[in-house]
Amino acid sequence: MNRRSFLVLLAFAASCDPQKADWGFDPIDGMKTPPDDPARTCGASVPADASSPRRAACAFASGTHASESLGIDRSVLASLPIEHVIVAMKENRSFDHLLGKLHDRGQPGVEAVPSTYSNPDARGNAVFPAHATTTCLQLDPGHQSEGILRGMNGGKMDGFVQNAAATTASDGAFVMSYYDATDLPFDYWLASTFAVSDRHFAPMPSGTYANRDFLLFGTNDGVVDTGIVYPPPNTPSILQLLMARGRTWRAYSDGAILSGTLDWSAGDPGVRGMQSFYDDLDHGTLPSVAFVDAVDYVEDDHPEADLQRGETWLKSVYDHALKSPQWQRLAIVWTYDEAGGFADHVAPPTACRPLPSKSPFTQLGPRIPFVVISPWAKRNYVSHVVHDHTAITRFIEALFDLPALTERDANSDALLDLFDFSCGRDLSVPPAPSPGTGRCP
Amino acid sequence: MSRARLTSGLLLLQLGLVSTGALAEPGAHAEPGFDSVARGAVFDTGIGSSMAGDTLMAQLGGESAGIRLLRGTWLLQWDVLVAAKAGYLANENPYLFLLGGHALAWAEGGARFMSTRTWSPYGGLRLGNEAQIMGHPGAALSDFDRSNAVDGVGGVSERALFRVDAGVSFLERGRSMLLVLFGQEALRAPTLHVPGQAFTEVGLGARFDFSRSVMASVEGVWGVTSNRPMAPARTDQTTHVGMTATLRKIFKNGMWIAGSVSWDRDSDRAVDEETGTVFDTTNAPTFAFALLYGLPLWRARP
Repeated sequence: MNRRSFLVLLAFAASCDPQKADWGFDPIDGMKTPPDDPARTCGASVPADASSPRRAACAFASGTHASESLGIDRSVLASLPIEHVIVAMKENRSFDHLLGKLHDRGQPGVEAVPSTYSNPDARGNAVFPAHATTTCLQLDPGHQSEGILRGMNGGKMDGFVQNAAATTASDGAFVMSYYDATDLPFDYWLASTFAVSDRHFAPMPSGTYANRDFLLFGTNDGVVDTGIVYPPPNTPSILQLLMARGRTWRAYSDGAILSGTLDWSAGDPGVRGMQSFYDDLDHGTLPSVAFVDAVDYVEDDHPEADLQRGETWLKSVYDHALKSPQWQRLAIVWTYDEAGGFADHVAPPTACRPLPSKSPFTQLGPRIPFVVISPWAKRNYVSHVVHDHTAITRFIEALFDLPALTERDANSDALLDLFDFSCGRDLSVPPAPSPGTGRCP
Repeated sequence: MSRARLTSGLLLLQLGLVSTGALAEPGAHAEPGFDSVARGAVFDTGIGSSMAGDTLMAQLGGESAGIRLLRGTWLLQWDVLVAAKAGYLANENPYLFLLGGHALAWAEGGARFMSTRTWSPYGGLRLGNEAQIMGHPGAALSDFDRSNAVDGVGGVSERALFRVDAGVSFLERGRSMLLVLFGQEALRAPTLHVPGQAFTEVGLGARFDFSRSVMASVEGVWGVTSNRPMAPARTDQTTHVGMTATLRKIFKNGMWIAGSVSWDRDSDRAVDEETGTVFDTTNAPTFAFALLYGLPLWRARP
């Protein structure tokens, strides 16, 4: 059974499944987002990060507030002008695969793919990065824990081709392919106009569910490979923390909600369609945190989706955000859940344990694209600070004074180096190019 | 309790009484030598769902289960099973093959306080334990912490209970009914992802031995744990509700077949200590259906 058939079977089982958990989020639909605070404005001075060594040593426990782990006064965090975070998490592309030419196309601060980087194929011949011939690859390399670890090959990052060959009907060379600005002009424009990170890693070497769980729970909590497996619904989450402090969230999608990670569907509490998202942007009624997901396998960039169609989806999100009355109050985080089995040359480091003393999952997964889009994002900026998805979690916790869920997010950076909150900056943005067309025959 | 609920409860009780013939022959005296025992080799197979995923399992082993009246007063019930177990857990693709062992043992001793009467008040004590070790061939049990959670299906799981029950016993001419209210402490040993839990539970159980060869039982239980602290800054209390039903037929040659169904569900009330916000969550239910075939290894009693 291939993955797609399996997921279709899962979707069918879920659709007639009386076995669903109740996450206890019914109150979210009746909650009102607090009005934007006019006291939150420019001028916040974020001090130099003096706590980084302590975080690297995993010194902070779950429950720690960001003010403590970041060494920033609570009043400073409370004055940051961002009150709405949009997490646009797409699917299954590595940094080198999607933005491998960013170094040469507008963002020289990004680490370039070394000319010597290659992966051996099954015969031992070196496969070097090559320009992809299509934006709708029809092959989906194995990308659960076994496949990703095979690709990483203990940090050599040279097993991706062989993994793809073993898990697709191909020689696997396609995982060394890359796109450039001629294929994906809007994606490249975003990454070179706003703040990009070239050290954002998947939280663990595995697939969708586990990595997205880190964003929501600060841990994978028993979920390793995507399947019929979900965290217990009483697992502390960023969703619960937000609600407990009077903040709101929504999960918007016209496809699989949160990419299926929690087995949610349309009609569940907090779930809305994309038109509601655009309406909320247009009317200035965004929740505190919006999780937006494109239609799976069509516009979410997961193979076999056409990346140019995915660009069009992202452009829609961007266009509505730019025109929103809340533009000055928001930050869009555009990233990917995991690298999907596509090659990346940077060996992932380790991170703190997601749960105290218990979890063995300290190894990060391959790099993924990560861009912060906001009037407050630094322009044409590259962050080299090591992040994983719990940095998004920590960013949300920092904005709304929430305690850390686990040791992983407690000791994470909070993305603040990607922002400049000083007064007097030109917050306007240049016109964006149209999404690419014509590369998916 | 509403009148409607009371009425429906009484109707159920009456139905049970009719089923055991109690109303047909009031005042009859208990039969001193009653027993109903199934004992021998067993093979069972079943499907189920769990927090860890859906399951298809089979086991092969030995079981002794029954009820016996001792000295006209003491009613002993028991179920002891030791089996090798194998099957699949469908929590990812490909499904996970598991192989291991399963043992359960419980025994309840009770007294019929009016032993000469067909109807008697009844009080009993039950001790029980269930343990299971299921591994994946070629992998250490500790490797499960690097795979999708298999709690309750794979790895090591163990449960124990101590029960006190009280109710009524009907006994006559090879027929028996026990209808009890019970209170129990149900202990779940910690698994890889769930801490150990102790539930204080109450429930209602009914066992009908329509004859020595046909038995039906049903049991419902509800219980809670104490509040336990959880990071970050919250408490959590788990509530458990469950139901089991079993039907067994023993043939003249001692062979027997049985079918059982169970349904369990845990809910949690998490309270944020900083704000007092309450989250009521409910796990996906655990469901199991199994069919068992038993073959006597000893000669059936005439």
